[in-house]
Amino acid sequence: MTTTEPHIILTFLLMGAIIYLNRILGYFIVSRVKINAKLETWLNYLPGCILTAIVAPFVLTADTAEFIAAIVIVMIMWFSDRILLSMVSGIAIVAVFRYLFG
Amino acid sequence: MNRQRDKFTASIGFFHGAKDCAMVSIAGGLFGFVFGILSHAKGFSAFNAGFMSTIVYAGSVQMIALSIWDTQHLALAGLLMTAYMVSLRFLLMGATLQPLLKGTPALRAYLGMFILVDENWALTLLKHQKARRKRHYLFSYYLGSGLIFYLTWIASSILGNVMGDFIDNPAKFGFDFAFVALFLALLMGVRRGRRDILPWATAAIVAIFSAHVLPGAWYIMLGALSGSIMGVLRDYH
Repeated sequence: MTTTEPHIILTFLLMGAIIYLNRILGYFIVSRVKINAKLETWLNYLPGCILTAIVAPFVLTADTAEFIAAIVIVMIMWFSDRILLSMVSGIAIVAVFRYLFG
Repeated sequence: MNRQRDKFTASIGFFHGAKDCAMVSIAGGLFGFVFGILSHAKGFSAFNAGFMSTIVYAGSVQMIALSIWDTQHLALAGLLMTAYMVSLRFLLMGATLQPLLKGTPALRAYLGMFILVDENWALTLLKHQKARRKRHYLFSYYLGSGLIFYLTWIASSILGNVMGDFIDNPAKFGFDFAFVALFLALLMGVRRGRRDILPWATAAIVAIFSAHVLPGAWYIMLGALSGSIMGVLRDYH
């Protein structure tokens, strides 16, 4: 079966175009408006809130190993601010737990 | 002289970005690898997997697209709707980047936004928070971190697709947690103190609730907007 057909390629191109629109639209809008103090405050709160919103729902599906790993990640970041160290530690904890008990 | 110095600043920025994103790219690569494996299971050729990663370039969209993929009856409307909604957060991310990169020539900036993803966005913001830098530096930093992530993403999805015959259950290796680990670490990295508590708590509660009751990725937009608006309301009564 050959799956590299024109309609599949076209689907990907259309999806890419729509996503590109989102990628440039926020940048475009902010470049066109005058940034006052309120808007700036909002833009400053936004990054943390985007990341929180991406991560938070993970508590709905997390298992014990992932919870422990998440706590370790938060603690390492809290005390040392080392992204890679905390990330790798977290993944390693989950991998070890799954190997031992999975 | 000035132009030369700006060029120099820019190449340093590019290098720093690529360096800071190298390990993050490996985490992304694991995710790309899993995408490749799953794409193989859906009958994608290596070319299709690589092409999708090159053009669509959005992990969450690609994963969800795979889950609703049916080669015999392509649900075009559903796929485009998914692509739009799941990538809406890029709109917010682009908005937060603009003030940092203000003054970047429009053509360059809009071309650069093609490789906007969560990872290079977060790293660039983090860089900006830790030390104020010139926009030449910051834009190159954004491109450097973005480019290495982009290339890793494409390569890993092709590799995963090719290896798809030999690996069946990617969850077993803890790959799926890499995503959460990365974003949790980045989230902790952008913390600024007590004033973040209320907005973040709002974002978290709204996101968890929305993820529970609503389909798709609405929870990201709803959580991010309600949390950040809560912060503004609190600061301005």
